[in-house]
Amino acid sequence: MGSSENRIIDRILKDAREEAETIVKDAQKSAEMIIEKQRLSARHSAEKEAYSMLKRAENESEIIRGKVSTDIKRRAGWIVLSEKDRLITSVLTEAKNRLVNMQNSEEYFPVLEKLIVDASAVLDGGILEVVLNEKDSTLPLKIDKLEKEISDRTGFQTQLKFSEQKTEAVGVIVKTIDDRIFVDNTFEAILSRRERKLRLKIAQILFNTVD
Amino acid sequence: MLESFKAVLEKEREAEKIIKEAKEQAEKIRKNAQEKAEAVYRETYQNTIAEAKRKSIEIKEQAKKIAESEAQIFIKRAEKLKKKILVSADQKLSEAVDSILNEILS
Repeated sequence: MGSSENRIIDRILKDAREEAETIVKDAQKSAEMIIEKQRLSARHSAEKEAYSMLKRAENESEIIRGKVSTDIKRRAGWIVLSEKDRLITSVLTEAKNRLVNMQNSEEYFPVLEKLIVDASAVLDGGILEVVLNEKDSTLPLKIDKLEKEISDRTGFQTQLKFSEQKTEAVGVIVKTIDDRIFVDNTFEAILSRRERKLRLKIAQILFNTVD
Repeated sequence: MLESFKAVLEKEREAEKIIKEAKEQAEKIRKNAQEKAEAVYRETYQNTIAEAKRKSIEIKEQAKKIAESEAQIFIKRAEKLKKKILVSADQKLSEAVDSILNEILS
C-alpha cells in the first residue's frame, strides 16, 4: 500500500472521529438546552403560583396587622376607660357612704325635712304617707311646718301621715294615701336616678385636665 | 490495487461504525436529557413553590411581630396614661365627692 492510500485511510478515520465528536457534542448541547428550557418553563409556571401565594400572604399580613391594631386600640382604650370608671365608682361609693353616715350627724335633720318636702311637692301635696327608717321615725319632725311648706309650694292643702311601714334605706319615701304613686327620696334611690348625670359631673371634675 | 481498495473499504466500515456509535450515544444523551428534564421541571417547580411558601410564612410572621411590637407600645402608652389619670384624679377625689353631695343635698 502506498502513502497516498494510507493518507486516504487516515483521513477517513479522522473525518469519522471528528463527525462522531460533533454528533456527541451537538447532542450534549441539545440535552443542556432541553434541561434549561424545562427549568425555565418550571420556574415560569411556578412563579405565577408563587406570586399569588406571596400576594395572599401580604393581604393576610395586612389583615393580621389591622386586626391586632384594632384589638390593641380597644384594649388600650379599655385600660384607660376601666380606670376612669373605677375612679368614678369610688367617688359615688364614697358619696353614698357619706350620705348614709350623715344620718348620725346634726346636719341630717334639715336634709331629711327637705327630702320630705321635695318628694311631697312632686306628688302635688294632698294627703300623703311618709315612710322612714326605724331611726328617723324617732326624730322630732315638725309636721305642721312641713305641711305648710308643701302647701305653699304646691298650692294644695297637705296632710302628712307617718306610715307604719319602715324602710331600710336612709332618706324618705312619700306616697299617696291610696298607695298608687310614690316618690322614693332615699339617698340610694336619688343616687341611682341621677347616676348618669353624676358620673358625667365626676368625670368632668376628675379628668378634664387629662387626655 | 485490490488490496488497497479492501483496506479503504474496511476503514470506511470502521468509520461508519464510529459514526453509528456516536449517533447511538447522542440518542442516549437526548433520551437521558428528556428524562432528566422532567425531573428538573418537577424539582424546579417544587423548589420555587417551597421558597414562596417559606417567604409567605416569613411575611406573615414578620407582620405579626411588627403588630405585636406596636401593640406593646400602645399598651405601655395606655398604662402610662392610666397612671397619669390616677395621679391627677387622686388630688380631686374629695372635690368630686363634695360636689356630688352638694348636688344631692341642694
